[in-house]
Amino acid sequence: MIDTIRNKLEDIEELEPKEKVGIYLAIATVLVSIFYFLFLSSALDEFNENQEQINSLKEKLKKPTYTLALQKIARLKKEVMKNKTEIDEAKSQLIFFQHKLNSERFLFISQNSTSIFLDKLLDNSLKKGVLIQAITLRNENEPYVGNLKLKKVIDINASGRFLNNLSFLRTIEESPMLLKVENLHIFLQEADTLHFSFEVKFYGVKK
Amino acid sequence: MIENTIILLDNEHTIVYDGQKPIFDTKITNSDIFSAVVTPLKYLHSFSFKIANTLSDDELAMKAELRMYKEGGLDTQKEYIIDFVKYDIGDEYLIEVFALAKDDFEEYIAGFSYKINVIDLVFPRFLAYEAYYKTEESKKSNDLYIYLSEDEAFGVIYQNGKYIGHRLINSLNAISKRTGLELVKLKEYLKEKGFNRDNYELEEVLILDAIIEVFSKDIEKIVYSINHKRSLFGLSGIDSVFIDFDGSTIEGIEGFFLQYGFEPAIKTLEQHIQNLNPSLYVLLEYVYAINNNATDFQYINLTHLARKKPLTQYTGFLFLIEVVLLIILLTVAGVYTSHYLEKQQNEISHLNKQLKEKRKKIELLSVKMKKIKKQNDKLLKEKKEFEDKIFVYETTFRVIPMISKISLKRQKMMNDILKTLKKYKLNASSILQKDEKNFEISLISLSSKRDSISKFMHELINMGYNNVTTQNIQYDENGVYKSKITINLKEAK
Repeated sequence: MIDTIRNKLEDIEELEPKEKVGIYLAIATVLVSIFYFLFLSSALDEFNENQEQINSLKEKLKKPTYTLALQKIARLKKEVMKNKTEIDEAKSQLIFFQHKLNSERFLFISQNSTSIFLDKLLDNSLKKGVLIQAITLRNENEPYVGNLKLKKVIDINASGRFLNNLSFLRTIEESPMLLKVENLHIFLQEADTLHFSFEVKFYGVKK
Repeated sequence: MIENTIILLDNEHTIVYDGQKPIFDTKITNSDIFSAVVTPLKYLHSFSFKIANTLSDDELAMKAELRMYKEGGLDTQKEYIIDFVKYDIGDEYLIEVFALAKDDFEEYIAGFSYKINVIDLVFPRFLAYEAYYKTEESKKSNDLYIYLSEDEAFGVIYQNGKYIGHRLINSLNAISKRTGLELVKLKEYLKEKGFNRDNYELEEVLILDAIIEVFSKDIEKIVYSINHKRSLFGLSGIDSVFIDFDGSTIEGIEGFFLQYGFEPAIKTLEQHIQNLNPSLYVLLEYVYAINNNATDFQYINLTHLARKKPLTQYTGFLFLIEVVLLIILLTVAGVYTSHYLEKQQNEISHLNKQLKEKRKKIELLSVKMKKIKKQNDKLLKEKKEFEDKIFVYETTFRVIPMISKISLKRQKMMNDILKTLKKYKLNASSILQKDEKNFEISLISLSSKRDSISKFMHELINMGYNNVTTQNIQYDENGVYKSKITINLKEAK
């Protein structure tokens, strides 16, 4: 065995110096090439992939999502507090408005208030010399503006002197109730009698 | 190898020599010591030829081997170790080639009392006398050495301390056979009486004559060689003849040379170490000198058991070292790379874990945020509802006084129109006030005052009622004009 090895070594020994240098280089080239192709090239690829992955992960970790979320939560909490405060204020204001509206008693159209109005109307017609020919009452419940609704309409047909009629109309409009006179029609009929008709619209809220 | 020390091997002895004192028959079997064996001349083949001195030593070696086989009488079936000495004789080399058959030498050393694996130097005895010339002064002579032993004998010529040729002569055994004289007796005669007739008894003269007859022929052959070398090397003569015969001289030997015209001084080898045969001393000194790089010594080496180089000294071993080193280096590089990749993987795992934790936290925050947002949305909705309610109330409170003022507006419009009617002395057959902004009036005017209708309209426009129109003004059979005027108050100025 040793002799065989020695013989091989002797064979190598007899090679030209150039050939020996060639073998040195060939060994290094072959081993390095094997190392490169079997291991290093794939290792380098893996290294690059890993590096990219690391950079990507670091980039993702750097993103201030968590901080932004915290800031947003803080902002939302602040907003919640503000809204709560504003709701409390709104509630207070609403209570105030309700109270205020409740204090406006004329807004609540009832049979009693209507009868009081009719009493005064008839009384004033006598005082003003106006002849009431017909009064028609009609209940409504149409929304008007805000909390207000058209609650009742009274159609009045009367006759009398022109100025008396206008004066009578003013006494109606002086009522504390929330009302509006519309469709006032003044016209002459036979025997030179002056007729007039109008609607009185009552606005109110439901009590 | 133990530096400087040599060991000379023969079939009986091992002699270790360190340049100072020989040690005989040691049990030293250290194969690291430089070993040498003197080859018997009966195994040695020699051949001389001349060749151009332009060839290199390698080329000379090839030529010598070829010539030795072709012309030197070597057996082509045998394997030989061949070496040569060269002499520069002007424009040529004289090459003296020596060959030793491996089988012959194996046979020779097989007779040794110990086994030999390595022999660094195998040489013929006749080259050893060069060790005798240790000073420049001693080299200024031409000498003949005559070696006589039981098994071999030769004469060797040295010119200025350098070997130039040898000649085999009859050994003592050969002389003994040829003369019929016992070897012991022969040696005794030669040592004690030599070739001097006066030393012999009458009955011994015949013995002397028989010895002289053999020996004179040997001397004749030697003289022939001397004369041959004279023509080749310009040998001027022989200054001294050294007798190498067990440390003894042979009385009367000079007489053989006188008949050929030589008058050399007859000498014996000088004894340098007490109790050591000078012949053996010369061998030890020669081997010692060669081992210690006395490079100017002529020598041939006919060993086929040369010491082999340690495996580590071969170039191939360096290749192996290179392979191993490269493998180690690449393995280290591979391990380092793997370690780095593993480190990267760990970092990726760590970062992924961090990212997962972050995402989990963000998810928790997101849930919390959604909850708060939902709460906030609910609050916003609630707030909006309240705001709407407040708006409705505000509108209500804003509208209530407006409704109250509508009566005043209606009355003002009525008053304005009545005042204008009075101003232009117009009558109306019908008045329709739809609301505080829309008014229709049917006017009646005398024919002579029909322009009052338009004046009435202008007056109202001037008062700020920006839309005062009529569809027709009609003349009646009763001599009056009738006109229906529409008054709209779009935007009171």
